[in-house]
Amino acid sequence: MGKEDKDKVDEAKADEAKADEEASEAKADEAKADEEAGEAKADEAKADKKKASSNKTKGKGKTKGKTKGKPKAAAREATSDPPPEPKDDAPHDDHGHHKPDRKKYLQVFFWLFVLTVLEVGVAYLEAYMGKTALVTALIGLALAKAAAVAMFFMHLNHETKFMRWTVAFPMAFPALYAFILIAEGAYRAIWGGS
Amino acid sequence: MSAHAADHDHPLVYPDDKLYSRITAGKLGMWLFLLSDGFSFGGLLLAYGILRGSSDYWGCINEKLVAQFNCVLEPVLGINFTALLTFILICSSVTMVLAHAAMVEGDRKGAVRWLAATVFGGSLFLLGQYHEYWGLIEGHGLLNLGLEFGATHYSTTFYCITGFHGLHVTTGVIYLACVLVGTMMGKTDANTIEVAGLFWHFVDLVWILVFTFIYLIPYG
Repeated sequence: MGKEDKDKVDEAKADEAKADEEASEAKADEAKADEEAGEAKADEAKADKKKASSNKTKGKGKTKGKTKGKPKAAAREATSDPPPEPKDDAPHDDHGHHKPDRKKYLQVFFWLFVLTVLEVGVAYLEAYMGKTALVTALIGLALAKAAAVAMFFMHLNHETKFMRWTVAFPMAFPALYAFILIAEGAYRAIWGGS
Repeated sequence: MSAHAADHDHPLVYPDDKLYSRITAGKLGMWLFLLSDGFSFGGLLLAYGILRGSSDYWGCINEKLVAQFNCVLEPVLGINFTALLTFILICSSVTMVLAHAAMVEGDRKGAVRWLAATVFGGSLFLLGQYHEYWGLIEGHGLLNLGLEFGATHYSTTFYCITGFHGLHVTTGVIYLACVLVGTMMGKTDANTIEVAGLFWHFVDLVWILVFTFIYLIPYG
């Protein structure tokens, strides 16, 4: 429901801006797009406003007892405010892309390199470390590297918190299963059994 | 709307979704595919863990084990060479993010250069894996040294997991080569490169785990 309503609000906004003759470039673009749709704008905007207000009431009805976020969205529609910027502080261009941070990429590359060297070094230390400590260290290093790739190269650090959870939550299950298997293996190794 | 999109080097600006912000459909779709792919690798690695954890020995790698279990001698997996392959893959991940960075800044030529470097890195990795399996030099290649597919859990899990990963690298190289050609022809945008990059970084991420679990965890 969010997408449609916001589109409508955006259209209405573009129209108001034209009426005021103080439209920004971006808004003018949207207005152009509207023209291409080949519809009479003034009428459409009025109709849209009506629809938006009727959806508002629908939205409010639905949100009761559901999530905390929805009343906020409804309030936004009511005032025709622009949607809020994403919560992180990284700068954006006009198309929602983040300004690339090359320094950060090279820092991550440096740490991935260091951790790989460390991993290979640790793998040769079997004679000096207990096997449990060695395997724990290796898995810890691998997970740190994997997390760095996901966060910085796959740009999860620029995604919303919800998107990060969309990825992390399902992947936690194989990890949990692996943990249970290791715990079970350790139990058998310590207390015996077949 | 389509004419509006054609004027730009970017796709349409997506509406600011409350949960996912301005994520594009392509990016979200790729993430969902990668999750399913992650489960595939997760399943393979878990099966590997179960088989390895329940076996009396892992790899018939020395005469002592041959005498004790009456098994056929198998080669030890080389760490140093594979560490080099890991390094190559990490480098290709960096060139991939730099290709995206160049495209975001409107530097199409730069993006083409970095994409070409990424394809080269991926191809180098595949060449390395070919050498590991079959041996480019005489006296090398695990298949020549007695690591026979289907003979033991040690050999089969090795070939299944590294082979499945190699298939991903192959797919990635082909995918990136297509994106490279598209970028040279001016048919791609920053989002196309970012989505392709997600796949490539995932391949790198999985290799980090495969490298640790298959190669680095000591025998015995």
